[in-house]
Amino acid sequence: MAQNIAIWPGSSSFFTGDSPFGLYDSDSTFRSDADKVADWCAKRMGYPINDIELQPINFFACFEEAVSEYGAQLNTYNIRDNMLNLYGASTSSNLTGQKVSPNFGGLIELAEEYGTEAGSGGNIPYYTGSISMTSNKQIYDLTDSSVTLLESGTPGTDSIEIKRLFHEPPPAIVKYFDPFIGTGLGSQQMMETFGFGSMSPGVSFMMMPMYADMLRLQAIEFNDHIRKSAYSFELINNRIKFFPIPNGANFTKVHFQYIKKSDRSNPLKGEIGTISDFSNVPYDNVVYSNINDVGKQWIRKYALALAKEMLGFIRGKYSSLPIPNAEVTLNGSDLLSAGQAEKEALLTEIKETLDTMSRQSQLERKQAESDAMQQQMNKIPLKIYIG
Amino acid sequence: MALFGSARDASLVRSINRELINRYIDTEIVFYKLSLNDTKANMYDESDSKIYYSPMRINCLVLKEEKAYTSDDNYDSTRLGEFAFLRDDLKDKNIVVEEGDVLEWDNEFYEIDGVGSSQYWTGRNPATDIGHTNGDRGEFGLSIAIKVTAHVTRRNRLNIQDVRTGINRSNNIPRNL
Repeated sequence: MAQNIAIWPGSSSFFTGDSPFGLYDSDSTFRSDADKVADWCAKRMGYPINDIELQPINFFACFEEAVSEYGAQLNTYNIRDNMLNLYGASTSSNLTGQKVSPNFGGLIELAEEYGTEAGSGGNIPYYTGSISMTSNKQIYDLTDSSVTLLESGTPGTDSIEIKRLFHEPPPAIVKYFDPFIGTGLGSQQMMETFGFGSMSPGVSFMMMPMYADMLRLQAIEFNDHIRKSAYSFELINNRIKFFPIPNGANFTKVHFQYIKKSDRSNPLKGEIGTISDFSNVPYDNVVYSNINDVGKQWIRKYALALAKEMLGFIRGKYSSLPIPNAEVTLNGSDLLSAGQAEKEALLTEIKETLDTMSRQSQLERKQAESDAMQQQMNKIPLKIYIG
Repeated sequence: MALFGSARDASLVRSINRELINRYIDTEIVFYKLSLNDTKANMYDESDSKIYYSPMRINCLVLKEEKAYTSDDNYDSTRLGEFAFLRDDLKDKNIVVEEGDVLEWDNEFYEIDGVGSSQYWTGRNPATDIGHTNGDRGEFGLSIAIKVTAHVTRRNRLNIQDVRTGINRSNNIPRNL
């Protein structure tokens, strides 16, 4: 028994599940438009003068794809225009149809690595560590776990980079309060006379102008600078050399701040479940009933182009078809090229339209508008005031 | 296992053919099927009083040749014609075209000399395809056409139309003329 495949019967009746993906089947506007689009496409291709070798489900597939393509173009544009504002945002919230506000999130994140290197914020933790000094030993190996203590990681195993080393001479103020040296001002004796002696080092500041303290501190620092060995260090690879030579009394432990190199080179610094790239920006399919008439017209035309292409494939599967006592060539290639040209033109049109709406384009247009307006205003004659 | 020419594709070919032959070209002939049961033959199995079934209108493609004269004095002539029918149309209407049947077209009656059905799409007739008839595979190919060759015959031999009939009017000539 010969198989007869039905072709377009002249009308259709869309039911939920008739479109391949069923993305918009629950939308009543889509359901009612599906039949109209199928009817329109068939008529635009010559029905009822010509038979159309397509079934209603073919038209529904074209229609669904056209809506999805429209949404994809729209969402691609939105992602491109907003990507810097979306990095790191949650992937769980649906952005379709939402206004995305500009923010500095992505920009700051790009700058965080500079902050890490500059020691002003950043996204890599600074840990603390210390080196225990041994008398008369100047050079220490940072990978030696017997002398180096790390807050995180193991010396010699984890690669670290020292960011700051706290090796400085004792501040002059320490010597200022040296009970053995005294201030030399006799203020303690004076306070003892009043019965306040030995109560607080604060008595040292009594009856003294601020500049006197400053001069005294400067004198102490100047003395240390000239007469004593400077506090410094030299760090090359894993070896660190301290000045002056530790003697067990001048300093016994040197603290430092470091980062783990593995932290810095770790590319996964963001939270899990946040927007990382184009693929996980949470834009879903558009809501068909919310699309305006401009968009719906684009969708109809794109569906027609797809239908032409599909019919072209069908009619062009065999280059010629037999008829009784002869052969005919169908218009498959014409339909195919027409459908593809229309598709391309529609895609170019929507891309160009969307590009003119980017933030950058809008600002440029606004600037041109204000420039033009200013030029026009300049041509208005000024009144001559006659007093 | 053939990949091309499946029943689904054959359906497209059939559909295109029907659209082309029945709607675009739409050349109709009238088919008279010879009724063998009703036709009386002589001892040589010849008959000069053939009986035909009621005529049917069928679409087909016609190739009509020029008139050829069969006698030297140019009094007798005939013409050959080729008629190509879509086989599935005939099958659906349960029509079997055979030698001796008559086709009427362009005010001429053609008596069928030969019938052939060897135009197959993808070179295969599903009715005789061994793989298909054995049940090893689905339906592939399509028998496209029934091709008929025929010649123009005298209509007074056919008993289809009354020819040479009429009323002999009485002479209106005055007496004694």
